[in-house]
Amino acid sequence: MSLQTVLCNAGRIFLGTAAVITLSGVAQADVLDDVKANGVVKCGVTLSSPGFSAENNQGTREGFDIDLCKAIAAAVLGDESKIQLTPMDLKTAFAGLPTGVVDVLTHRFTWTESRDIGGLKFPKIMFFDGQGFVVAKKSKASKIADLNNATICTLQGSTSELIVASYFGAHKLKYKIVTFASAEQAWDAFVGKRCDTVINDRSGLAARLAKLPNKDDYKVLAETVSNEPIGPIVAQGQPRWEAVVRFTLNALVAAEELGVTQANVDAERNSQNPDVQRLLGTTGDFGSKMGVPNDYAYKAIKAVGNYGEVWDRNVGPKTPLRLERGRNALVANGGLMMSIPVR
Amino acid sequence: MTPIPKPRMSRAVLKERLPGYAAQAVLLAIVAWLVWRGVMNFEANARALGLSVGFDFLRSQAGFQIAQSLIDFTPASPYLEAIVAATLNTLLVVVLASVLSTVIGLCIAFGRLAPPGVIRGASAAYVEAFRNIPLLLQILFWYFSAIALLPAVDDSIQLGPALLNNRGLFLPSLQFDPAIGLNRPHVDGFDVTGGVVILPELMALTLGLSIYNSTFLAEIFRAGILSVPRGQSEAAASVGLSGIRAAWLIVLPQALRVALPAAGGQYQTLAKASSLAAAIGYPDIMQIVGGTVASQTSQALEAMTLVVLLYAAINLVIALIVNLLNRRLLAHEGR
Repeated sequence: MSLQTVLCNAGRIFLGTAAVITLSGVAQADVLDDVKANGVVKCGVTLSSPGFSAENNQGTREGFDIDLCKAIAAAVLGDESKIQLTPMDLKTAFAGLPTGVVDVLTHRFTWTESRDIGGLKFPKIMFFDGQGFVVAKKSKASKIADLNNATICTLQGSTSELIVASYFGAHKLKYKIVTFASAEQAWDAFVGKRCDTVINDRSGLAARLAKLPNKDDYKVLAETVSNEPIGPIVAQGQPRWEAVVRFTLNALVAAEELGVTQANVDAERNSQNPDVQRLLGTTGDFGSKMGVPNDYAYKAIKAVGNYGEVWDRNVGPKTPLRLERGRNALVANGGLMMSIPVR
Repeated sequence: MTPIPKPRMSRAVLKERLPGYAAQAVLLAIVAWLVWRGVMNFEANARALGLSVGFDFLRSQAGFQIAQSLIDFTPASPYLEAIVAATLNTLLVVVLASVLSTVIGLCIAFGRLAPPGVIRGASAAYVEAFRNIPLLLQILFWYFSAIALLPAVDDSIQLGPALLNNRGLFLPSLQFDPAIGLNRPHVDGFDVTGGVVILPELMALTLGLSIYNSTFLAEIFRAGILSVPRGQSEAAASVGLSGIRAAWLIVLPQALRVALPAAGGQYQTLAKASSLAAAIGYPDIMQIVGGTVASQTSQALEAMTLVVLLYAAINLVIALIVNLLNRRLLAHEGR
């Protein structure tokens, strides 16, 4: 055996040992500590969904989901700009969250039992949605029962795939499904007439239709075939981080209930209302018990406004999406949205 | 070919080689230990995070439908069958595209070696055009032009007993129940019933993969053909063989010896590139296992491991076939 071979083998062994040291490190420490140490909140967001997460003309990403990410950054780090956005599809998002590629998914994923048990935790529902079908206006279908034998386009791995299978199965309807890696491709294939219909969350359908120049050639079928509770996701086994995300999101809803807005939040710090005082951290120590400043909710509201303001700015009636609050109105207004009591 | 007798190892040779064997054994042990540590570490971390690890999910009900399946698959079938169906779909497109790209590649190779003129120029243009455009772009182009150009179901093109529309090419199939006969496809509401369908996704993917890979194969075949000395074809001509027979009997077998190993690599590239199917909704391994199964079960790491193993296995099988062919070819040539 020559000297060269010996050296070569020694080199391999050294590399191997280095690899062992790397491998034996614990996969993920405390996410809250990591976020504070890094000084940035890493959010996984959708590739492109107008109103929720899409680049504007200046090339910055904005939308409903982005505002939730900003609120978390403001609450934990005191600065809404300390965010790092990673556009992810379903595959990379679900593999990336437990391995620490991102800290939180401010995405459009539905809370389901299998996902929860599988290690994806949904701290708070921020969007109550339901799935529906879009067809061309001149299509033969005016209700779902007319879609017998239809070809359906959708996103692979989405809850839509299961919903179609169970709904069409239960109603003895035949169908064919074509699934795509991204919602954009599914939509393009539908517009290209590969499919008779496309199924998605109604908010998602509204976002796509808003972008079409000939949106009047399409109609959304009236029936809603599922309930889709949607909200940010954190990895399992991070109770501190989960609490911070939950109560930051909760603060936005609580602020709307209490009439606290981005404009009046500074004045409301002097409020004599004990509910507002607890929310904004002028009394109590909820923040420091979670490991963030006591005024975390004040920072979040100051950064993005309350839930209603986030809604109106990104997806509300004055935006291209023109979404009414509907199920997402506060309980006081006949909707489903309510805060966890801040007490 | 006479087998070379294996020389008995003398004590001196053994002494000389012993440190080498020892080093290999140590290295093997270290690699094994590394893998073991990695797996154990993953398990420990997964347990700490409260993730369920393992492949038990393969037996639970899939609950989704697959657009094209060579086996009988329904939403009630288990995940394992979804994975089998996806693997067969990948194999189908790999086999179709390999055969088609070989045929096109051979034609183009001979075209490029034709005397200067239209055929030679067109062949060269074909290679340069399709070799230099990204494959994903080509697949998307074929797919969206196919669905844009093909008519809707109500205006299907009738090709004898077959129907062509933007839902696919519907061919009549043999049926045995209730009576033996031809199952003719016919328009039924939104779709076509009866016969067998070739989906637009399969057409576009096969076309994209075949055309792209045929350009590389054409160059490999051309190199192989050029490696055969001119004297061979001249000799073939002098014994009265026609051009095509000379090419088929004399030039190609010798050219193949040079071309086969490189072509084998190209078939492996094709197999891996078939995973671009996910972009156009063809239900292959990447789409079904890496997409739907991974997300529905939340067992992304297990599903991705399966994807890796399946592609590795497919490529190893291709390598094996090419090596066996190569060995036969060399044995035939008496080398």
